[in-house]
Amino acid sequence: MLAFVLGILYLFLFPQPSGREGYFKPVWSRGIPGPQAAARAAGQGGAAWFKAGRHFGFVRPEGELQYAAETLHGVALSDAGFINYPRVADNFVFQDTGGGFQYGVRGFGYPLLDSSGELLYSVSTDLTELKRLDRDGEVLWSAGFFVPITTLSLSREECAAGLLDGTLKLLDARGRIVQDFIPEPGRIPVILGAALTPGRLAVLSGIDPQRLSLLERRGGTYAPVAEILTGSDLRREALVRFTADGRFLAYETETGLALRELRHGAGAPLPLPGRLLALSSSEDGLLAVGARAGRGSVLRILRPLDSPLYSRSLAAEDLFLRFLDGSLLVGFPGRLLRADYLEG
Amino acid sequence: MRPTLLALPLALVLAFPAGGFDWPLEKVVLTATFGESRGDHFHSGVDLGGGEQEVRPIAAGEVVFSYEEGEDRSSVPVGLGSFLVLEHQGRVRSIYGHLEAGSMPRAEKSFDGSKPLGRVGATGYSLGKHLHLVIIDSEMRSLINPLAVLPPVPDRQTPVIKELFLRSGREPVAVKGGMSFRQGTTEVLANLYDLREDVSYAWRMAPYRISLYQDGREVAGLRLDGLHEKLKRDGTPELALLESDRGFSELFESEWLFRLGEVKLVPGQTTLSLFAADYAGNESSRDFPLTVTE
Repeated sequence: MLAFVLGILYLFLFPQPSGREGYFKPVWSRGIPGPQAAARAAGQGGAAWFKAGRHFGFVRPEGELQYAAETLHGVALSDAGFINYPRVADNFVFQDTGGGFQYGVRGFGYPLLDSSGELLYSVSTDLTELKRLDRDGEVLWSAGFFVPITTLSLSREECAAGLLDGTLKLLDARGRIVQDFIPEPGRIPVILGAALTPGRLAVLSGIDPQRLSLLERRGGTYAPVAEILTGSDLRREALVRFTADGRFLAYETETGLALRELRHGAGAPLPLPGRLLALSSSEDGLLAVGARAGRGSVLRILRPLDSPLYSRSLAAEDLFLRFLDGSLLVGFPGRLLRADYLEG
Repeated sequence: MRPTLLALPLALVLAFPAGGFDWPLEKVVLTATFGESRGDHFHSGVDLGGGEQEVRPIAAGEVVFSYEEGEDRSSVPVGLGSFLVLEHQGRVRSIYGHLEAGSMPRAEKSFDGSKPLGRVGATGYSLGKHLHLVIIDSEMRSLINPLAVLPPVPDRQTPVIKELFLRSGREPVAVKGGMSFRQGTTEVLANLYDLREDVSYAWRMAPYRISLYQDGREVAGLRLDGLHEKLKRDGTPELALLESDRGFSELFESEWLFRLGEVKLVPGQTTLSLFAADYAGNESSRDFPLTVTE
């Protein structure tokens, strides 16, 4: 264990530049789970959620661990707190970033939180029903579909639910269907991924061919503005995400990742050695990508459509990446690191 | 032809030629039926126990979607556990849920029936090893009762009709011998269920068909043969029975208490009769005579 930790630290402390000169300056590294901060009042001080293998928790920017626990079966994480739920759950218990009890509600299926933690949803076990609940457990709305939900993307005002039948349902904050988007189905219709951000929607769909549709809000509805045949044959959920700087769209392909610049439509593939494990982008245009590589993984930092800035093989099979205020949180089983990426 | 198939909409029957599908398990033990209450939603398929077994496709089909618990990332919390979706001829899809982790051959893109697609497991929201089997008719945009299109399963157990309730105010009142009710329109609820063939204790499952008669005339009924989407008054979609268009909350008062409909009671003697049948054709009926006062 010690050798593994020292090995990881060595890689971050003595990086070998790849492409443009870039390196990580480790800020801190800590074992997970480790000693947790003394109980502090909920909401006191900007702790960020993370994952590290089967563990998750909240850590403060200076590295103080506010809370860490092992995931029971799954965990719904948000900036305000979490719901750690067992395989068979009949209630959802929301705890704040320090682990303090906030509320508990009766729930069927599994819970889901929006990024702020203010909106609580549940998804039925057969994936055909999405519900929004309030903190008293009252069902604010429910939406039932004749096929399972294959992908979900939530924003404050809208919810994009991709379905097995090849339809993407756009729901408003009251659960009403405000738009059905049905991409060209190909030989087999199915929605494989979706990303929703204010004013923009991206949908990955279909088998033979597989296509990515980019839509923009015009008036009250989203209208297609571009369509790309991806050349992939994925038959599982695929990641689709807009970057934090709002300039690019990243989507998973059979060979890795593809990036598309939103304004001019320029695109480029980003081949990966194995399955995409994690992706995070910073507001200043950096993209961190983690992928499986043999029995380990690889971490790459790049500016989209530019040559890679940093590439490093890691021994861990699982990887968590999250940009936070210019720093990168890197989580893997048993450890969490914070490192600043520097160029020069 | 099984009598229940006669009740299916013609289009549904035409979509599924006889003998086109087979059970996905060698040993079929039905542990939950289609349309049962799952607390806040309909059970969208059938559950099959029978211990650790290989799972085979119900017909030759192509993989549309799959999820492997512990391996795949998902934006949706997946209660189905590891699952696989196949597309068959005629735009019919089948879903195999709670498969054993790692048992799906992920490289395979189609199955002709000669190879298993996985093993029965307990991944996802599952209390024990079982297969959750769902059949979807994409053409009709509906979930259909797998028992309607798969070969008959031996079953000699008749459904159990426990109680009949009338509700004109807030609380339902059980109908018992010699009771009097006031005239007017009242809602009728029935506590009934079907039983498993293979166990001696009362493992409950939903029947397939329920009818309510008043003095020999059918006044309400329902069949759990399929579910489709409908829009509620508030503009949100919900699943509803194909045949009667009734949503979950319109059908279930609680897990085994079905809301059947309304009857008009006029002064005098009247008899309400309940009829229930399961998919194997086993039938039960029970009369509830009552006195109606002004």
